[in-house]
Order: sequence, then structure tokens, then C-alpha cells
Amino acid sequence: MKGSIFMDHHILMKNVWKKFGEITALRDANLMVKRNTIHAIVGENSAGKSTLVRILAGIERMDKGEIWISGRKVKIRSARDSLKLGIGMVHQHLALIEDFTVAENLFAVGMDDPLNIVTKRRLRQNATKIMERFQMNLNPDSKVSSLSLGEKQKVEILRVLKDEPKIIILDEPTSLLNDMEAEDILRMLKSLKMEGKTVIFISHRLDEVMKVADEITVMRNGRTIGPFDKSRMSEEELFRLMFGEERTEFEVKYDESKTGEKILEIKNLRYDQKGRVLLEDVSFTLRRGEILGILGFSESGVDLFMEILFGLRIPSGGRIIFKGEDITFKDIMDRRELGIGFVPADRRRVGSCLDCSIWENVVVNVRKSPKISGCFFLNTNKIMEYTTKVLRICGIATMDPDLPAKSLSGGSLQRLIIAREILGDPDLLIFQEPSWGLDMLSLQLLKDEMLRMKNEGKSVIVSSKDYDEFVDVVDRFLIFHKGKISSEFLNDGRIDKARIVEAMVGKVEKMRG
Amino acid sequence: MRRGKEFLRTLGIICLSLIFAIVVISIVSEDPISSLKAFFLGPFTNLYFFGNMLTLSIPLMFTGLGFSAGFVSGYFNLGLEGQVYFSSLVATILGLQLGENNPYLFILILPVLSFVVGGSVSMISGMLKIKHGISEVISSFLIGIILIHLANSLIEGPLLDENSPISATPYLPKDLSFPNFEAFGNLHLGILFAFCSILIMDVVLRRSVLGYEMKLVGKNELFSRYGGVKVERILMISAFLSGGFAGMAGTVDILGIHHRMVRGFSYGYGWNGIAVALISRNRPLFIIPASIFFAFLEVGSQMASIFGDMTPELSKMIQAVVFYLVTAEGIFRFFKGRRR
Amino acid sequence: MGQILHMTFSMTTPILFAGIGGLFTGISGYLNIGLEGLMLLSAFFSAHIANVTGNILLGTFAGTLVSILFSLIMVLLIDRFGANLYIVGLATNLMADGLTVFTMQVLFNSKGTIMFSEIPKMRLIDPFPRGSILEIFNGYTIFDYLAILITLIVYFLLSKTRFGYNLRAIGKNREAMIMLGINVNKYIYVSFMMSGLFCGLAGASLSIPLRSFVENMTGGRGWIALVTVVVSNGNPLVLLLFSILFGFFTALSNFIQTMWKSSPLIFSIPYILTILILVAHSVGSRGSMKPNSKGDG
Repeated sequence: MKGSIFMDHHILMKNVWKKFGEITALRDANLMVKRNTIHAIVGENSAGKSTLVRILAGIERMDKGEIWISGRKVKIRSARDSLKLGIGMVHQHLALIEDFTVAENLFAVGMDDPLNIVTKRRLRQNATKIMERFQMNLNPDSKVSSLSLGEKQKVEILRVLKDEPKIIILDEPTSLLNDMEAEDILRMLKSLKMEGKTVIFISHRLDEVMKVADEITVMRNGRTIGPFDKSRMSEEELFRLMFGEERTEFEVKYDESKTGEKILEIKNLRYDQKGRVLLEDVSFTLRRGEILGILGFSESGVDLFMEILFGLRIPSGGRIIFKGEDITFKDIMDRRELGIGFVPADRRRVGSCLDCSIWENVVVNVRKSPKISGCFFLNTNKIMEYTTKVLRICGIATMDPDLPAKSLSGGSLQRLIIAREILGDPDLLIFQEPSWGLDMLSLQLLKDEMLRMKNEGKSVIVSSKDYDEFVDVVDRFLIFHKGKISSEFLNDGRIDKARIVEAMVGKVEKMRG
Repeated sequence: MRRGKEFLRTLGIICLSLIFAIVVISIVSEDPISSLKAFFLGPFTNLYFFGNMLTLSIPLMFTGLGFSAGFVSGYFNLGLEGQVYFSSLVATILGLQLGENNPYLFILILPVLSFVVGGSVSMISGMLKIKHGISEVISSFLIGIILIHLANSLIEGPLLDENSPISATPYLPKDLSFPNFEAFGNLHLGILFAFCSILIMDVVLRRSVLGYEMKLVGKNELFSRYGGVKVERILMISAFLSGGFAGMAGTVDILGIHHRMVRGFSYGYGWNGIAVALISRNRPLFIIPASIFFAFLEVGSQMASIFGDMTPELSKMIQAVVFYLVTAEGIFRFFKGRRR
Repeated sequence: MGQILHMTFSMTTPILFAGIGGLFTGISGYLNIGLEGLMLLSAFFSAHIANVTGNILLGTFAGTLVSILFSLIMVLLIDRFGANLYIVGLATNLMADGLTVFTMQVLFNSKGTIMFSEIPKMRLIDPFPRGSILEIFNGYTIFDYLAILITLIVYFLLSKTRFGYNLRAIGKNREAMIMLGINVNKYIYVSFMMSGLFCGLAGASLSIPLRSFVENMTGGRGWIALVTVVVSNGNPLVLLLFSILFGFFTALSNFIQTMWKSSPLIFSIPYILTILILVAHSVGSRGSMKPNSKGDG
């Protein structure tokens, strides 16, 4: 009954594939959105949600697949195509110009008809009109930079609404907002539906999804599951679909004794940016021989925290004490010399230098140690020896160390970066999203390495958005939510995954235990 | 293997630019054959011309090294002209005041002094970049102009040699000069200074931790920072070295050829130095053939204008073509059929 | 004194034109170092064609066309072939220097000053009625009035049209503009061609009134214009102010040179001023006209 599927649905995305280099972002994804509904897309980060809708909005192009709008097959090759089809997208990272006013962002920027004359009066008039229509109270003449995040989000939404699109996509519209502001947005979604529009929104806040959505599509690892009728779903089922089967028991492989002394103390760490508090009240202690897992969705502050811990950012308040020394303001070189290593999430831009040769990538953290250099000069022999050793560990012994790093495959590069940091023999190794880009075998080897470090009395901090990956090596979990530590769980073999996810999503307040 | 490809590319650029020269000469000249002969063979016809060509390449080696030293870390020093000019003035002043008694000592001191002066001047721009985010492109250029005017005002003012028909300082003490290689035109000992500087930089860049850090910052600043490199310190060092080598260019010329500071004597050294650096692809050893190549272009054009009917400006046009080709990375890929 | 005032405005015109040209690319995030070269090319070719045709308009048109051509080469190399913004600018300057003198030699067999006697003398216009206060602004060439007029038009264009908003937005947040579906590339190409256009006018306004051309006629004015672009931070009116300031100093130095020998230090005052302003500005806020990251600066 091919005909009816295409006619029933306002939007239909079929068999969509998208790769970014080596990473497959979308695998045979399907999206079926009925007319005049609120359709939610949920899933973990890097599940592919943003990519899917960005294709619909014309900002990305799919490798394979079809798109049907209102029963007609269409080609969306640019944002303009998408706009012409009546699709408007509210971006996760606001497409606003900070220096311009609200009115200017709404009616002067990003519009066609280049020779159209813009007067402050007309801008103000148009802006006021539109704000009345959608019941928003903002000063049209205030600069966007002076607005709160919630207000900026509203401006961004307004920007899309003013073109009266028939289909509205919102990518994480509430993730930056507090509860009150989020309520406003949800209310607006409902009224949009009442006006006859079709709404697609991405969220990881399951409670909000359950409140307003009519249908839900779940995404995991680039695949889509659904759509599901919300009224026939429970939050628990959603959890299960998003994060996989619950596990309440598993084999405990590690030695529980934590007799190591304190190696790291974090005291009241705080980070502000442009008036917003992004991290607050972060305090905990880490012992030698402990493996700590930090979980949290994006914007929970986990990434910021890791960067501050390593020295890529300076905190606004609080202290970091490592091995008894206050390192809060010390630079990266000092931290490395004290024994901290770091595997960053952005492997290609931060963790490596693609245009540099392999050996240049490998020795960066040991360049001043006697392993590699003496006094002022590098020792070429030692460098080559060391690099070959690293390459062998990564299983790519045949690579010429003089080749540029970009000639490595994605997986090899990941392994190289991790090996480099481990071989620096740090007392504390910090990992951001370590499993990303690694195959099963390498992941297992990595976990074995972590356990080896633990046995030698070294400590590890791992951040991840997927609980499953490291549950078999982690001693303790810290959950971050909205810039604070919301929960702490000891990994005693009886962890309820659902509770962890609740903490990540913010349902549970300050539960320690 | 990688280096081989780059070498071929550079060779290709040189060939293309020479083809450009041939084409232009053939079209414009009324007697293309003799113009072409003069251009390509002229500099080699006798030892005098050949020596002159080498002499001309000496300051280019310094300014080329100077620009390279900055560029390798991503630092764009556009104030070379001013650094060359001003440093040589300071050296000249010192030479005039104190050089009488210890000329041989000062032969060594003056180039070192101008290195320090040039480097310090350049560091001002470095500081502005690090502390205030002001692009060194603009600040180094501005400071360079100010220094040129400052130097000129001194040359035309208190330092002016009344007996000279052109604006210049008095002559330096006779012994305060580089020995010449008589047979080779004006070729002087300065060339050894240049070779030494180049060798030192080559060793530093290839084999030292500092060189490794400089190159790393130039290729990926974020990665360097992550790796623990003190990026600000490296930029300051690059700025210093950049201005320092440039600073030596003029002084070496004065000690070797002019023996006094003539107004405007070094105009173009800075800009040509950039061309030399670009062709050398940040490898100091290549600066030697690169500067000789540009000196060859210069002399060849002059020969073509003396013995043929061309104009020396031809060399500038060829240089411009080289610039265009060097920076357009994608051009060769395009011609090979592969799109970016 | 009146003489200096009068000379100031004449000296300002080429600098102002070139500055406007640089403003367009500067606002979109590209610091165009090649203003000097673009201006020089036009100075020669507009004078030459004006001489050959006896028509000032045709000459200006031809010279401007050459500038636009070279600015197009610049943006093509940067966009399609990954060229470095600054090096391409330097290349343009070098090429302009070489090409103009080379052509001069080939056509006229002379490397000194070329007198273009077939160019009609530029008339001095008196647009303002006698007896009014504005009378002191009488007596300039059409280029001079055009420059001021264009500055005002550009000010209007940049602050009150969608084009202006979009161009400014591209310089401030390129990513956002891509997300909004704006054809950023088109805007960049247009801004470079505007550079060519106005530098073309700059060159013509330099050589045609003087009915001559000499090697390196622009004498650093393009660089001065670049400086005004950086200091003005995107505001055409501030650009105008600084162009007049530099025009004043150029006139002053010319004047002083004919009267008595003076220290070249006077030349450096505007540059010193610029640096002080740049520092003050950066200390105050964070970042003025930052060169686009493609330039590797």
C-alpha cells in the first residue's frame, strides 16, 4: 500500500545513510511524521538525531535515501530548498548575531532581497508585531548579547516562526533553559500544533517528551526505532529503547579494596561564562588506584569539567589539588610533568596534528624526557625507537613514522592517541569519550590497560555518555546534571541502570549512595 | 618521500615562473633571442657578474631566514623592511662612534647587535599580539614604517654626511668592513655569516626541541597547547628570531659593500625575503638556492635591460607569479585532475 | 593655511576610496593587503586609456576593470585553491609594481614620469552656491565629491540594507549565516570585487587629475588605507575621519617639503597614532577587525 504511507505522512524520510569520514552517523534511518502532530526524536548524543534533522533542513546532505513531503518526493540540497518547502529549523547552537539587536536578528539578518532598506522604526514595528502574535515579551531594541539564554532561545524560535513555516524543527530547544523557561517553550509547542503546524523536536528530556509529544522516534547508533504512539508508551520503555536492556547484575572483575591515599581533590569548582554559571559546587575526592566514571549529557558540564581538570580552561572559582599541590592555575606542561595525562574528545583537532608526521604526534608529551631528548636536542634514534614501539602496540607496526598522521585510519589514530597518553606513564589519566572510534577489541584492550593502571596504583577518570561501556571497570560513578554533581553511585555490582539514567536526566535530586 | 614531492612542486613552480619569463620576453622584446640570452646566461658570463649575483643574494638569505623563522610558527612578520633598516642604522651609529679603535672586534659585534635590535623590535609586535590580540600583520607593518621614517630623519639630520652628494652617513672606519673576494665582484665575508645563520636555524628546526615546538605551533596551535607547549613563549621566540635575522641583513650589506648607510639602500630586502622564504617551504637549507634564484632573477632582468631591450621590472612580475603559485596549494592538484 | 586645507581634501580622496574598498572585505572578515597594488594598477591603466581615448570616463572605467580583475584573481585563489590571504595580497602588490613599470617601458620607452597630455584637464567644480557657508567646499574635482558621496552611500548601504546586515553578520558569525541559508561565498566574492571597484576609483582619482603617471605613484597610500580600515572597525564614517587625518598629514608633509627641509618623522605621526588607537581599543574591548583565520595571522 505504498500510496497511503506517502500520503498519510507530512514528512517521510526513508533509508537515509550518512557518513562523516569513517564514522557512520545514520544507518538506514527512517522518519515518519504525521501531519499536525508533535513528533519527538529521542536518543543519546551522537545517536544521529541532529544529523537527521539537519538533512531535512538542508544544512547537511544525505549520502543515500529519500525525502517525501506531503506525498511528493523532493530534493533538499540547501537551506534555501528547505525553506521553500515550508520547513523552518531552530538550531541547538543559536544562529544569532550577538552584537545585533533582537529586531535586527529577526528582520535584518539572514534574509533575501539584499537591497531591501531597513529602518530602525520598521524593525521595531515588525518585531513588536511578531512578539505580540506569539506572546513573547522582549525588548526589540536590546542587543542579543544582553539577553538571558532563555530569551535568546525565544528569539531564535521567533526567527523561524515569523516566516510562517508549515513544519518546524527544534533541536534541543530546552536543554539550556531552566524549568520555568522550558515550560514556556513546551506551551508554545502545543499552541503551534493547535495552529495546524507540524512540529519535530529533539530532546533528551524524557519527561518533557512524555508531556507534549504525540509520537516518538527513538534513535540509537544511527538507527531509528519507531515511531511510537506516546499514549501507549511508558518512560521505562523509552529508557530501555534508548539505552538498551537494563542490567542489574554483572560479573565483578575488579578488586574492590580502595586503600590508596587521596591523589586528587576537587573543591567547590565553579565555571562562569558570560554571566552564566556552567559549573557549580563540584567537589569530590579521588584515590590512587581508583577508576572514576563521570556520566552526563551534553551541557551537563562534564566536558567543561574535564577541560578544566586538565588545564585547557581556567575555573572561575574553587581549587584543584593534585598530589597535595594546588594546581588550579598551573599550565598544561606543569600538569603533565606532575603526572596527568589526557585523551580529549576531539581527537582530530586537539588530540592530534593531522598535518604533522606520526612521530611528531607520538612524542609530544615526552619530548623533554630523557627517553627522547637530551638537553636541547632531540635524539632521532630514540624517537624512532619509541615511535615504533607505540606503533607496534597499536597494531600498525608497518607504518612509516614520517608519514603525516592524516594517512592513518580513524581507528588507528584513536589507538595512537590513547597509547601515547598511556605510555607517558601518568598517575592520573583522564579520558573523554574513550570508546568513540574504537572497535570492540581495542576497547577491551583499553579496559585491560585501565585495570593494569589501577593495579599499579594509578587512577583513571573516564567520561562517557554511555553508561554501559565502562560499567565493568569503573569503581564509582559521578553523575553530572546542569553543571552540578547530581548523584554518586558506588559500583557494587547491584546498580540499577534506570536510576543512573534518571540522575543524568535530572529526575533525581542530590542522591548520594 | 613526502619531501620529495614538495621538492618537485617547488621545482615545478620555478619552472613555470621561468616559462612565464620566456613568454613575456618573447612577446614584448624586439630581439627576443638576445634578451633571452642576456636574461638566462648574462649572470654567468663572467666572474664579476656571477659574484655580484651571489652578493645580492646575501641580504635575501637573512630576510628569507627571518620571515621563515616567524612563518614556521604561524607568525607573520611584515615589518622586515623596517627591522632591516633600523637595525642597520643602530649598527652604523655604533660603528661610527666606537668602531675606530677596535674595528675587528666590531666586525663581530655589529651584526650581533643588529640581530638583537631587530629581534627586540619584532618582539613588540609579538607582545601586542599575545597581550592584546592585535594582529602582528598590522602592528609589525606599522612599527616598521615608523622606524623607517625615524631612521631617515636621523640620516637626513644629525647623521648626514655633508660631503656626500646623496643622503648618507659618513663612511665607517676603513677596517670595519668585511674582507672581499676580489675576483668575485663584490662578494664578501658576509656570505659566511649567512651560511652560518642558515645552518644554525636548520639544526635548530630539524633537531632541537625548540624547533619541534615551533613547527608544532605553526601546524596546530591547539594541539601544541594540549601537548604542553607554551605557545605564547614560542611565538615570542619566533618573533625575536624573525626580526633578529632580518636585522642582520642590512648591517651585513653595509659592512660588505656600502661601508656607510645610504638612504633607502635596503628597500625591497624585506619583501623579497618573503618570496625567498615561501619558496623554501620553511626549510632553512633551501633558502640558499632560493635567494640565489631570486638574485638571479634580479640580475638577469638587469642584464636583459642592459644588453637586451627589457626592463628590470620583469623580475618583480616573475616574483609575483611565484608568490601566486606558491600559495595556491590546490593548483597542482587541480591540474592533476583531483579536486580538493 | 587655506592651501593646506585644500590639498588635504585632494590628498584624502584616493585614500578614502581605497579605504572603502578595504572596508568591504574587512567587514566580512578578510584583511585585504593588496589595496596598494589594486590602486596602482588602476592608476596606470586609467591614465593610459584616458590618454588614448581622450575621455576621462572611459579611462576610469578601464582602470577600474583591471583592478576588479585582479581582485577577482585574489578571491578565486583564496576560495578555490586554498591560498593564503596575505600572500595573495602581497603578490598583487608585487605584480602591480612590476606590471605597471614594465608596461610603461614597453609602451613609452621611459621609466620616469609619463605625461599624459591627451587627458582633458579636470574641471574644478563649484557645486555649492556662492555666499553660503559651504562655499569653502567649492573648487574640487568630481573625484573628490564622488568620494564623499560614495562614503555616505556605503554608510547607508552597510547600516540600512539587508546586504549590509548580512555582510556584517558574515564577519561576526560565519557559521550562523551558513545555518541561515545565506550564500556566504557570493557575499565574499562581491566584497572582493567591491575592493577592486573602489581601489580602481582610487587609482584613477590619483593619476587622472595629475594627467601623469610615475613609478610607484601610490607611494604607500594603499597601506595607509588599510590602516584606516583596521582602525575604523567597520564604520565608514570613522574611516572618513581617519582618511582626512592621513590626507592632512600627506598634504602637510608635501607643503613642508617645498618650504623647508624637515624631519621625515612627521610622516610617522599618523602611524604612531594608529598604533596607540589599536592598543587602546584592544585593551578596552576584545578584538577589533580580526583578520579571517584563513589568513593564518
